[in-house]
Amino acid sequence: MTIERELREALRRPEAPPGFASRVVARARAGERGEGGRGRGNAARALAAGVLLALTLGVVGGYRWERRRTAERAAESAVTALRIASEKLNLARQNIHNHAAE
Amino acid sequence: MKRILLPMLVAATLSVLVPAGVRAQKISFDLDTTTLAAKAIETVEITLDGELLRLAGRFLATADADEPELGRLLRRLEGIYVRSYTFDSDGAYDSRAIAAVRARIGAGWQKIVNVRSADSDDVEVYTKLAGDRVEGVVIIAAQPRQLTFINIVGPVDLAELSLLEGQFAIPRISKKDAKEK
Repeated sequence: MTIERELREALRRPEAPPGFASRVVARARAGERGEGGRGRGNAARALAAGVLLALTLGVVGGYRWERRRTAERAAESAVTALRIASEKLNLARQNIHNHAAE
Repeated sequence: MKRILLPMLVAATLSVLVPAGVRAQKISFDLDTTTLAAKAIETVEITLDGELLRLAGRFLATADADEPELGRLLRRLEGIYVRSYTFDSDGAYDSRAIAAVRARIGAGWQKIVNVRSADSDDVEVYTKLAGDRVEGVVIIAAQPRQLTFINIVGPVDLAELSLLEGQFAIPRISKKDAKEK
C-alpha cells in the first residue's frame, strides 16, 4: 500500500506555478521577434555584399573595357602610322627603281 | 675593389646613356601645324609612345587581333610619330615646314635616301645607326598635294617596314595602285 502511494506520488503531474503559461507564451513571442530581426539583418548583409560585389565587378569590367578600347584605338593608330611609313618608303623605292630603269 | 667598381661604373654610365640615346632619336615635330592643318583637307597626326605603344603591341599580338608579327614589330619600338597633311591643290603648303624639320635632324643621322622625282614626289629617308642596327628613322615625303613627316624610334628593319604595305590590315595604296584607281 505504501509502495502504491509512493508510486502514485512520484508519477503525479506537478501543477505549473501560477503565470507559467503566460510567461512561456511571452518568451516564445519575444523569441520569434528576435529571429525575425536576425533574419532581416542577414538579408541586409547579403544584399550589401551583393551590391558591393556587383559594384566591384562593374568597376573592374569597366576598367578592362576602357583599357581594351584604348588598346584598340592605339593599335588602329599604329597600323595607320606604319601604313603611311611603308607607303612612303615604297614611294621612294619606286622612284629609285624608275630612275634606274631610265 | 677596382674589379667590382669598374663594371658598376660602366653599367651606371650605360643606364644613363641608353635613355639619352632613345631621346636623341626622337625628332620634335612641334611645327606650326595649325597653319598646315588649317589648309589641309585631311590631317593625320599620330603620337604613339610609352605605355600606349606597348598596349597597341600587346593588343595586336593577341589571338583575336590575329596580327602577332605586327604586334612583335611594335613591341620593339620606342615611339612612332606621324604628321601627314593632304591638300586639295598642288603646292598648297609652305616648304619652310620641310626646312624646319630638316633643321631638327641633328648629328648622327645619316641621309640614306634622297629622291627628287619628275612628278615632284620627293622623299628623304634618314637613319640613326647604333653599330649596324637602325635605331631610328625619319622620313620626309613632300608630294604636290601631300606633306608627310614620320619619325620611328627604336630598332626598325626598313625592308620589313616597306613590306608591311599590303599585309595585315594595311592596304596597298602605293603610287602605282593609286594611279590605276
